[in-house]
Amino acid sequence: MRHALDAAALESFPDDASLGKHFDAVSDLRLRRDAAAARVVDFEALRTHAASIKRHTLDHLDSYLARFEERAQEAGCTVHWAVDAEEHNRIVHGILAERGVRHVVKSKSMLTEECGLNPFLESRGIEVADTDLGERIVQLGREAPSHIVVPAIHRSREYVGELFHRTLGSPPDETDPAALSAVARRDLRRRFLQAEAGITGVNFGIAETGALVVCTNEGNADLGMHLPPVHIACMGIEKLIPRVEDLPVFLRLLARSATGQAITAYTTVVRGPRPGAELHVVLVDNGRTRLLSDPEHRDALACIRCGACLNTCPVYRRAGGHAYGQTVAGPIGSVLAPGFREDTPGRTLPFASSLCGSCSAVCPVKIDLHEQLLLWRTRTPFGAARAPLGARLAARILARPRLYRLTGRLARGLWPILSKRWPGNPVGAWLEGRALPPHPGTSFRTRLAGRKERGP
Amino acid sequence: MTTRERILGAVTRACSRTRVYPGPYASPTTEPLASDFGRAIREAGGRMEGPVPHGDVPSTILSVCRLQGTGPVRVTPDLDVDLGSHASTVDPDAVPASLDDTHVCVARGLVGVCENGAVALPLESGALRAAPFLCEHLVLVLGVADLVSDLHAGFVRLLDRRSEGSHIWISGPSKTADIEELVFGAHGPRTLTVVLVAD
Repeated sequence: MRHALDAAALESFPDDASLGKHFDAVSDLRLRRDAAAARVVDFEALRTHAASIKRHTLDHLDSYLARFEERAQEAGCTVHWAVDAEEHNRIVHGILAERGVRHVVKSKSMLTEECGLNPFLESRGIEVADTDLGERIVQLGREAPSHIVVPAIHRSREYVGELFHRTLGSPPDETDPAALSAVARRDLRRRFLQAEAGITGVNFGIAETGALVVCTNEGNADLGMHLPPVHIACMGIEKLIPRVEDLPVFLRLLARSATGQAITAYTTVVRGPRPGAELHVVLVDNGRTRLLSDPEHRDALACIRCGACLNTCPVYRRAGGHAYGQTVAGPIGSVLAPGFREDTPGRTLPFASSLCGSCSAVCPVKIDLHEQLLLWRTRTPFGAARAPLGARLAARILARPRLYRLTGRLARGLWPILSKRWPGNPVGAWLEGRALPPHPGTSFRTRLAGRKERGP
Repeated sequence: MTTRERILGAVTRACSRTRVYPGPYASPTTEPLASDFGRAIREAGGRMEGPVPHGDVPSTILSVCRLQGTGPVRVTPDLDVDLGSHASTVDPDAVPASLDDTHVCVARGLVGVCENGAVALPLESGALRAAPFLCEHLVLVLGVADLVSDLHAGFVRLLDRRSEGSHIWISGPSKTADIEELVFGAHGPRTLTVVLVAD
């Protein structure tokens, strides 16, 4: 468990200036969220209602899934089920291969990222173009997204200028965001028109009507859905809501929580394929049923992927998404990862938190994130029958007063050495980004005894 | 056992069936004001013209089109405004890619929401779904009587107006802030103008 050292090694940020920019950009999203929430007089009532709808849905998910499937099929969709990432990828590939598809456009879907769909398809000769501009940037730069809503928030305009020059042929010194976006627009418009299939995620699935809801600001999901003859929508089973009238409750919370907008530029509600086209829905488990059967942690499945918890988290702001080493970063990523599977590397992430609780305060569906992080700490197995050596040693020392005093004298004596950074210093990781207080002199007990002798 | 049975079985075993549906949401009702609608559209990067008297709608639309420069103007079939020879109607059966050179697309909105500036459009055939996204500039025509205060009322009004078919809520031009700053026209239209028609 070496999060402080790993964050540095992963080099989320090459220098302090880019770290500062990331910190400010992400903090700004939190401020925008607050400003938007303040303008909605019933914002807290919305949160309570949305939280309640999601928990009810999770408690009755089997009947809602069955209803969604039935209604979606009535509307003309083909519904597929995938138990894990591998099955999801095989199903999607199967649909494409059967139709001889070689060029696919894909809008933002954390689920397809989670399943590793792009490399799976590309190794089988199918070209996938991510069409969300942030996703396109990380795709061309051959890296993972670092934020679930703003995937390239860790990258500067200079970086994108150089990247687009290399990969899209933009002018060598172009760094103006509008000009760079125009270059990407031209390239992707061509791909939209040529694509033989479009893959999207799903923000909400409506059980009552079998409809899929996709929210974007760019309109890339729409171009990907409406131009090619085949639309494949990939959805985690927890994304369902019961009724059409529930949708506005979530839509009024989603964009405000994510970026402070009242609503995304485009909110598309699709019931079945358009005439002459195909619509496939792939329902994915991939660890969700495991989390659902855990009564203390199942409510994390209420998540609507707004990213508000990332934006407010002091750890995320400072470390960046790549430091988490998994698809979804931030507080929600840290509670989903240990829930989805037993031995995920992300199981130590609950320890990389200050437990400040800011995440829980902004979650639109009131997931008790910071309490779940604490609970995961008590439940995380480290693969050893006993606690780590340091913890056992500390327990022994604290239980024996003479040993405690001796250790204290030793520590004060070695203070000048321990308080400096050097390779192998056991206090080393703690000292990354922190300075210890000055030498305490004598122990508290000694000072107290001296004061008692001198009298009041 | 199929994957479907496996997943549904696991979900059934996990479901606690305890927490109940909270019932309908009671939103605080407010007056739908055109001024609130206009402000919301502007905050999203769009523009509003009007309310404009019925007779002035064609000239208002054409002056908006002229503002955006020259190029093909295409209107959706359900638009009940005559723009004469200045515009052509989108053929619902056209190959969507043939609309790629559309300069301005003019469409009719069904409902407008004052709290967020969103306008609902039906999603019909392929060409009609693609038209509002392939154009450089989008113009939506909406009646003042079609305004509602919030999104809850918006969905209710939409159900009144048509059956539960596919639709889209459009609240502004296409945009992105993925490269540090806000940019319009990420993939779809660079501008959105709503022409509000007076009662």
